Parts: sequence; C-alpha cells; structure tokens
Amino acid sequence: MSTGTIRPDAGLRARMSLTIFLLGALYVGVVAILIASGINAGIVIVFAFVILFAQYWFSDRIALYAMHGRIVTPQEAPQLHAIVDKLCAEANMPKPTVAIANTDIPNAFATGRSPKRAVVCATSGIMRRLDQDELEGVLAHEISHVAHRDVAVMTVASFLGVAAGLVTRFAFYSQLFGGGVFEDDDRESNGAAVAIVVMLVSMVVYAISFLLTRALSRYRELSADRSGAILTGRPSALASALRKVTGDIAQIPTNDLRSAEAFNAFFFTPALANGFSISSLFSTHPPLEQRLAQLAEISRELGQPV
Amino acid sequence: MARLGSLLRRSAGPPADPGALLALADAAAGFEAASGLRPVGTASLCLRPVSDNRAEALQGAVESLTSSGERPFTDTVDEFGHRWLTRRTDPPDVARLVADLHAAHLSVTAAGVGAAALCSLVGFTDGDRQVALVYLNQRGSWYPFVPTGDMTRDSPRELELRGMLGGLNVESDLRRWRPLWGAPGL
Repeated sequence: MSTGTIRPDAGLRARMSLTIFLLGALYVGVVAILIASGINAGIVIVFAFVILFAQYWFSDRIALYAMHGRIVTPQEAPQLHAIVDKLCAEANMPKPTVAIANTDIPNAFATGRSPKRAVVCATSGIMRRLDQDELEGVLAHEISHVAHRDVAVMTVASFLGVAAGLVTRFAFYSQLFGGGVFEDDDRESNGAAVAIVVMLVSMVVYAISFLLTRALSRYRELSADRSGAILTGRPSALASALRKVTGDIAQIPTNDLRSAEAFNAFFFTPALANGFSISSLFSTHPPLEQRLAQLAEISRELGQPV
Repeated sequence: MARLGSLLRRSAGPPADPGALLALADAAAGFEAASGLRPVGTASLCLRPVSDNRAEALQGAVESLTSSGERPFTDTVDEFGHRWLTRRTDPPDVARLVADLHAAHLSVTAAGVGAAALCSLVGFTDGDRQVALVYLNQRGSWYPFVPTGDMTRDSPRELELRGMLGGLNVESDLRRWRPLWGAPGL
C-alpha cells in the first residue's frame, strides 16, 4: 500500500474496505434486479467495465490531455524537477513524469495507475503563486496520492456508479425506442414498467455510490495532506499553500493585464480525467478549515509553532 | 442622431465616469493613514497599441502630452509594445497627479484613440516596497497591486489594502486584478 516514509494509514484502510464493501452490497442488489428484469445486463456491465478500465489504464495520458499538460524535462523546469526528485528520494518511490499545464488557475494534479506510471502536473499559475516550500508541500500531497494508489482505489470505488449510470441510460433508451407505441399487448407495457423501475433503482444506486465515493475521496485528501506534511516535515507550508490556492486569493490573477491571455480562463478538469487535484470546485475535497486544522495538529505533533 | 454619432466616432465607448479616477484625490489621505503607505509622486497612463490607421492620431496625442509646457509626461515603450506616459511631482501630490492623468485620458479620447487607454497607475511605497493603485480606465475601477518580485505579488496584502480604499470604486471582480509586471510607473 505504501512505500518508504509514507506510512500506511490504518484508518484509511478501514474506510476503504467499508466503502468497497458497501459498494459491493449495492452491486449485488443491482445485479439481482437486472436479472429479474430480463435486461441484458451482462453487456452493459462489461461495457462499463471496459470504459472504466481504459480510464484507469490510460489515466496518465487522459489527465495530461484533459489538463493540457505538457511533459517537461529537468532542463525546462529545474525547480519543479528538483522538488519531485527530493520528495521521491525521501519517500523511496520511483520518480513520476513531471508536467506543467500552462494556465493561470492555481492547481496541481496527480494521476497514473501505479507509482511507476504516475504523472504529477502543476499549473504555471500555482508555480507563480507559491514559494519553494509551499510548492514542495503541494507536490508532497500529490505524491502521497500516488503512493497510496488512490487512482486505483477510486476507480474501483466509482465503477458501480458508472455502471449504474449506464444502466439508467440503457433502460431509458430501450424504453423510448424499444417499446412499440402502436402495439398494445401486455408484454410491451410490462417491459416499459420494468424499464422505469430499473431506471429509478439505477438512479438511487448511482446517488448512493456517488455520495460514498465522495466521502472516500474527501478522506483520501486528508490522508494525502497528512502524509505529505509528514514527508516534508513542514505542515505549515502546505497550510499556507492551501490558503493561497483557495478562496479570494486564488482568484487574483498572475497573468499580465497587457498580455493577450483571456481574463476569464476558469476551467474545470473534465470528469473523464481520473486523478487528484489540489483544489476542486466540487465536494471531493474537505473544507479548507478541516484541512488547516489537521495540519495545525500535525505541526503540534512535530513540535513546531503553528 | 446621438446614437449615430456614437457609432461613427468609433472611440469604443466613452471614458468611464471621470469622477471615479478623480476620487483618489480625496480618498488618498484616508488610504495613506489606514495603510501606512505614502505616495512616491509618480503616476502613469498605459496605452495599448492601436491599428495602423490610428497610430498617427495616437502619436499626435502622445507628443502633445510629452511636450506641453508646465507638466510634461515622459514617454516609454515596454516589452509588450505598450506606451507609458509617466508623470512625476516633487513633492508627491496625488491630487495633481490624478488631475493630470485625467487630462491625459481626455487628450487621447479627443484624438479618437480613447480605447487605447488601458490603465493608470499611481505609485505608493512603504519605504522599501512599491505598491500601485491601478485604475482600469475602461471600467472606471481601482485595485491595489503589490509586486514582490519579477512575477510574484503579495495577494494577502492586496486584499488587506482593498478594505482601505474607502471612497473609491473598487474592482469587485478579483479576476480582473491583473498584474502589471515591471510597469514603468512603479
């Protein structure tokens, strides 16, 4: 699960197991309903699995493409490479691919199916806003995601959600196009009713698995904050970085008024990209206060002034 | 007819309410007292490049401002190809600086190139760091800019200063608080 100085996290493991268990229980329920309804669920599930597996297997490439990230050499980005080198040496992990996304939005992102196939990407906006220590704190957080194999875990966790989403759609279309409007026999109207039931059940399943994966994701963020802070030994640097990449301060741009760059360059990481970014507009991240409180606690544990 | 006139004039919008710029003359004392900053006695108007057929008009306006008798501006071109008309007063006199910035904006507007006026800067300092109050000429709004290095700024300090700009129309959209790295007015 973990390597080197990034310690295993017993609580994380317990929650992971619980989440996967609950998802598994839901999965069984869904399959039972699907079999009862006579829809060819096998095809749907296999299809969902293939898509999700592709997302997982190619997560590094997909994320780089979605973030418009460009792989940089040590010559091009000596500062970034130096930090990643140092952190990987300390954590005793293989060095991930290092990339930069040319955007003013302050963000950093990690993905990849294994530590050997990982990518760590920082935006030019975050590199301009943070000092050396703060950037190191953020990259340690991202590298912790890699060490925890969070991409693999979240892929498994979200599989049911994706499958349920596909079944919802499948049921919807088969009901829409499959049922003949002019045929008025019992079998047809029965099929439509079943499709509606399946659709509703899938939606509920999707909602529940969505909430569960969000909760797991928030927990993994806190876990990466903790591991990253312990790795660098400077929780306060990560705390200071988090303050700078969230809220009002993050909105203040660093791209010159005279440059042609559009002023409103806000972008969302598409849902297609499997990975972990330091700041998110969605509720996959715990509130800033909670993260800062945890970091302050680690500072105290390490005997540092908060 | 008024509408037709504004269509033909092509000056891309009238300058924002001049009161928004001139308001600094009255607001400066309160800002200095609250922030502990003091004016350095420089102010500058940034003019972006214009299309070829307007270049002559812009050049004429710039020349009249840099050569006009008692309070001339100095003219510099930065790496973006923007022109900066800089005005100095010694001792620092914010009221006079903003009056001159306003006059300069009126001149370029009268020459038909008012849209070239990108922003105006008024310089302040805490003794060792430069701070600029930036005025967006087209929007008529102000924001503080505290550069700390080549491409770095002290945004927490800027947000702090925002609360001390009583009497000014402060730019409420933080995404428009764009930096002006190495501006000649600083």
